[in-house]
Amino acid sequence: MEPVVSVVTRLLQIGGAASALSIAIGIALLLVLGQEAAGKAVITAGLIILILTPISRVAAALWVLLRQRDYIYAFLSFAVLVILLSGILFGKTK
Amino acid sequence: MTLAATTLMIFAVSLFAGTAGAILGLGGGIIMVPALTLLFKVPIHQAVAASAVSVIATSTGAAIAYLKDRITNARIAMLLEVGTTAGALTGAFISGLLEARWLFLLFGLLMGYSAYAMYQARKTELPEGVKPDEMAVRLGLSGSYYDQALDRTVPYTVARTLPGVGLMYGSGTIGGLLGIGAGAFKVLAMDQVMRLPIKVSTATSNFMIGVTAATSAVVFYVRGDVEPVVAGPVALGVMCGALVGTRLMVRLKGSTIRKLFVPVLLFLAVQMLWKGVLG
Repeated sequence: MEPVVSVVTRLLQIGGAASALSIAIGIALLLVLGQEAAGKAVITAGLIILILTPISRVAAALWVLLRQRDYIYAFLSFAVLVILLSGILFGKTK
Repeated sequence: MTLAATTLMIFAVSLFAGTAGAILGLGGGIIMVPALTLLFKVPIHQAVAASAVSVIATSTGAAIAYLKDRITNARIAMLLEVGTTAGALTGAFISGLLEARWLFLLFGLLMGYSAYAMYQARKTELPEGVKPDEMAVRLGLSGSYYDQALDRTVPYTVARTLPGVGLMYGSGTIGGLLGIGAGAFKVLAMDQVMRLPIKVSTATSNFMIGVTAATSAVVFYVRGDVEPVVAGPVALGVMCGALVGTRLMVRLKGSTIRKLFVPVLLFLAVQMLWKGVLG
């Protein structure tokens, strides 16, 4: 489980930092420079990164677990991924 | 109020929500939704969407710290996530079919009872005499963590694993239907049913809530409910708050965390009952 934890931690750090940076820049553009459209767009980009982070950490965990041949936990991660993706699809069609 | 002032104030409230959420294993939704709608007059759809974003932010920020501190139990999380995401899907499916009002009343009462149970357990530092069940043994769910407040390594094991997964399903459904309470329910299930140490419960809950909130957040985004001017400062504030909250949590004693939980559960209960009564 150690390799899974380090990959997941790394992914969360990158996702969190990228998202926070983007949102901060977007807010600065919006409030300091008065660039409304650009600011909102950059904030939104940061929010998209944030929203995708948990989903990608499930996929990353699945990948590492398969490499580790930990098939029980790989199956659990796969199940979560399937449920997540079907939830997103369902939400879009609703 | 100018945009700059509003943004700063939303950021400040989010800081608090992120800090509290990281300590208690919650997403901060119970603070964010009322704060955004009542204090900042944000339309409810945007407030709920921003709240989902704040849950992801708390989860991400807190998970980084707790994973590094080796308090989160990744195995338990991966197992329980199956239940919680399936529940979220169910909640979304049936949300149009049920009269939400009765659910709010029911879960409001449940939360009230949980507050009482947590109050009864407030002096408990660590669980005693927990016997692992077969599923826990086969999946290797036992673990240990270093408790900074107690200055020792605490080994622990897991009981009633399958009922735990079932309760996670319930918590996911509640979160999907009501929009609040999922994190609290997870902590309660892990604490009272699966008999995990409270810090492991809150850290593991923090890890899990991001994934369920992400599903909702994608839907909100597609519907156009994610307003950057609201969700942006919320996300940033909550992430910063979570960084602070994690540093606090490891220094607190388990019994202190339990005592902090009681008013939060009561607040949740009141919010749910309020919604149930008003319809």
